[in-house]
Amino acid sequence: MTLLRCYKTIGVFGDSTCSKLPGLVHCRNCPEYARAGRQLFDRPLAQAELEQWAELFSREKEVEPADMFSVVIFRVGSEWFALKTAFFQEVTDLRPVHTVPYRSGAVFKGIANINGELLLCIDPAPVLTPGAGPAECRRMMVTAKDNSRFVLMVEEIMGVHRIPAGAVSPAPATVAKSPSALTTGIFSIDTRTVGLLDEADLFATLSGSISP
Amino acid sequence: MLLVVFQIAHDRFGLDAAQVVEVVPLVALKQAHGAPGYTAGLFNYRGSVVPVIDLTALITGTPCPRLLSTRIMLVTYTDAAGAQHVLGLLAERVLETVTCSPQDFQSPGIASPEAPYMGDMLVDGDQMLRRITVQELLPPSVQELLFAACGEAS
Amino acid sequence: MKTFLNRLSLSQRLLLSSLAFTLPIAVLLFFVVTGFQYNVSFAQKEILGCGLIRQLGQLVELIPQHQRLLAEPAPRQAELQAASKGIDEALAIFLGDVQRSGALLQIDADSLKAAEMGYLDPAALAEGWRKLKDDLKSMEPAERTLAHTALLDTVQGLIKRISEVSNMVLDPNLDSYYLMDAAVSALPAAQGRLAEVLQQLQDAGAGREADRSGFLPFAVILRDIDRSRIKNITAAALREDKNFYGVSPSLQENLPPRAAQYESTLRIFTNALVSLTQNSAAEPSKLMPIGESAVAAGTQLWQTSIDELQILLHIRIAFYRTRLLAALGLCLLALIMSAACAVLIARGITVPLVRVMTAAGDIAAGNLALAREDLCAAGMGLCDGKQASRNEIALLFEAITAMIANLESLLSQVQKSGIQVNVSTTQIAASVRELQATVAEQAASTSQVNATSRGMSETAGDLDQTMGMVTSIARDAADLASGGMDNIAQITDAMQGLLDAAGEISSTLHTINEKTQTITRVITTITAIANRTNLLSLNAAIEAEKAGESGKGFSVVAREIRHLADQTAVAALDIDEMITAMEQSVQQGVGDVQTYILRAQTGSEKITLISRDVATILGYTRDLGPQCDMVNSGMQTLAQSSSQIMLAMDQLSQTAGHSRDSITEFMKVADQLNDAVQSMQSEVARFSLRGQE
Repeated sequence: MTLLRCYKTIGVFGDSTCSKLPGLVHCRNCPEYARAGRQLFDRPLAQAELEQWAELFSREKEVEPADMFSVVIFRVGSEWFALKTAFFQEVTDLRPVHTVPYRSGAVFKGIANINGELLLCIDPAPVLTPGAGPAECRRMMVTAKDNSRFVLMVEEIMGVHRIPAGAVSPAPATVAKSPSALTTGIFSIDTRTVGLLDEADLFATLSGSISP
Repeated sequence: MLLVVFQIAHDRFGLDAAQVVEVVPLVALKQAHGAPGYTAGLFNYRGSVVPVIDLTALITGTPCPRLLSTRIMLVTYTDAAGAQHVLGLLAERVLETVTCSPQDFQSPGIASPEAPYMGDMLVDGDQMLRRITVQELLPPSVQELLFAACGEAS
Repeated sequence: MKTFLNRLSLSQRLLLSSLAFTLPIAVLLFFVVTGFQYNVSFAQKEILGCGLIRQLGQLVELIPQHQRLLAEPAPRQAELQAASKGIDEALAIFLGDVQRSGALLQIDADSLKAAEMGYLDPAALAEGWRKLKDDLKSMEPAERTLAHTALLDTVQGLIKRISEVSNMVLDPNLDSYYLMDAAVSALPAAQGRLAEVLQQLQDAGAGREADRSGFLPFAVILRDIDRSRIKNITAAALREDKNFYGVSPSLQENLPPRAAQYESTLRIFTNALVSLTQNSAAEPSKLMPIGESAVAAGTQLWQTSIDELQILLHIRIAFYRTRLLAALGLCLLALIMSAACAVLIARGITVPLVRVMTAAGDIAAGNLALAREDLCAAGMGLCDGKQASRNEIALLFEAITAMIANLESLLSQVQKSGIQVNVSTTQIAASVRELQATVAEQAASTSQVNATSRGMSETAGDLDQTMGMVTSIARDAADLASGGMDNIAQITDAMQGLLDAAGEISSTLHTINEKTQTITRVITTITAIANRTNLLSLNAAIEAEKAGESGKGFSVVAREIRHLADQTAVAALDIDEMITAMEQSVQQGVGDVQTYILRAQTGSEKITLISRDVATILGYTRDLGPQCDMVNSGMQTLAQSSSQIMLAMDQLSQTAGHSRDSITEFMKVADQLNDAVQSMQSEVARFSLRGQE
């Protein structure tokens, strides 16, 4: 069987003389490229794998409980927080933040350009972990509720997790033990304790931090 | 509509995604004794026994090569009695899907009575593919045999 | 300088030092004498000036007198003659003086012309007077007056000139200065004014009435300025006299009466003159005699002051001359005294030295007793036990006396030793003769041994040469074999290095092989992941399709995932391809290296065999070398020993010859010693020792 190798001869990895290249920009957008890659799957299948798969599919399919909801878990300072995935639009790398004179402060940092849109940029650390030192933010999360959109600067994002509603226990009664006044409950994941944020309270607080 | 594309010999074929339950890798199959030669075997799919038809064997007469791209498409099949079953279809190069509109199909112009499951043709870029009508795949005798066997196995 | 001084005798040196002192004294003396001489010549010049001014002073009195006498209505011929004669005499004396010292005082015609004072020429003055005298009869009164005035002006000018050029105005002493002031300045001015007043009085008396009040300023000037000035000057001169070179008795005696007389007559005249101006009835001619007497008194005072000035100057000159003589005398005295001192010191040194020299001569002649007597005669207190003086000469005498004593004792010792040496010398001569005989025998046997060893040495030398050639050939062979051995060893090393390198390459290739297998496993894993990703995307697309409109977004994600799986697959394929190619290369490399190692090993074994053979040859050659060397060195030792024996024998016979010579020499020396001892004994005998006399 002859292998397809056009991307190496006339494509981007060759002399770039392919007539289709100007329209496609890169070979990976070309069906020929995909076809070349799929030659990999023409390899014979090991018997052991067949057995494995058979074993896997013979089992009952895992069905999620009905009352699960999805959250994005992220870290601010030393605390982990979760917000429902529904209120997330996008997650990006850290972008430059332009300060707004007389407005920028500890919470409201300024305006950031996210994919061509100018959005209000918020450092949630003073709100979520009052008294902790300045956070070393590496990610930006675009959140939206109703008509208000905010970019939250966080240090780490664990990812999207589906949480059974029963796993969430109420937040401790005393404020001191609570990660934040904005948490409605806490749950554990991978031995970490995560505070589930109340979206209504959070967005109200953020709006309040921007209003003069 | 979406078609799940596969290959038999050197020809491409498509299957209506609406009928597909799931695509699974090739698994070790149990021998279906007494079944026609194009029956690849029986598959324990999440507790229920599913018969698997080797489409390559059905169309070309030679069994499908055991490759990484050789997969089983699980489809819903309504038998003559109107009962719904899950049927496995074995083919190679089950690697892509094609989105198209029902109007894009063209009749090949050649009727093939011995292969009623062969549907219309679709031109997909510089390639062509032929639609397979799942419902026409199995003659009633085979249906009985297979689903009865499945019933026995389960 | 030092050598020059050493060449001089003691008295010459002292003279030289005296001369060195004389030089500064002479220079100082010169300056002192010059200073005194300057002062003396200064005063002498003043005296000359005084003489001239004295004559001119007479002219200042006589010329107006002559004028007045002429102007009288009836001129008194006798008086006129006297005045005229007086003027002639004074002029004659003046001109004589000018002839003698005019050039010195710069009042000769040339000097005056040079100073633009030609009108003061003394000769012209005499000529003017002669002309006036000749033309007296033909002249108008006014012309006469003019001529007289001109003469008088010239005289006054000359006085002034002389006073300047004869140092008078520069006189350093106050008494003479005041006298000079009176004689040169104050008195001539006052006399001139008096003469003028008298002239006017005469005119007034002659009927040519003038304004009488015109006399008043004259009277006042004469009374209040001239009189008081002269009075002050004379008083000051008298007062200061004692401060300069002692009191002058003639000055103190002569000046006060003249001054008093002048003052009184002038006072009377001026008083009369004042009353004349106030009283119009008074007759001016009556004042004339009074005026004349005042003029006479003034002239007397003038003459006196000039005389006294001259006396003062003479006193001063005498004073300076005395001083000069005193200075010269003192210097001379100092010189004489220093010369006397030098002579005395020189004599004090040279006389004892002559004594010592005589004594030394005695010692040289061997007469010690005489030397001792000479020293005693010098009387330095050495022989009578008195310690006369501790100066250097005395110490020298002591030292020489001690030397004589030591010399005496030494001589007696030498005499004794001489006798002993004489005896020993005789013994030595006998022994030496015996030794001479023995040495002659030894020399004969030595030359026999020498001839024998020479023959042996020549034979050994021939053998040594032959053996040397054998040794060098053996050594060359050994070197060649050794070189071959070295080369083989190098080749063996190089082969071993190649084998090692090949082994390293081989192991490296094995490592690469292992790594590629690992990569292959990784590719398998990647392939599985890509496969599952593709499957996942398929199912996702199906699910999205089933979800209808809501699954639209998800279908896009599913397509993207499929693209991702495709790209991963391409990457995996590429890596796999590369790995395959690499594996092939590695396999080929491993094969090549194996072949190479095999060949290298075969070569190495062959070389080892050659090496062993060469080593055996080398062993034989090496064994040959030392043996040859041993024989050779034996031969060399033999040859060396023979030549050493020969050398030793040569030296021995040489030494024997030397011994013979030495003994002969020694005998000669012993004879000479004997002679020397004899002569020494006679020499010592020459010294007449005190103890033997």
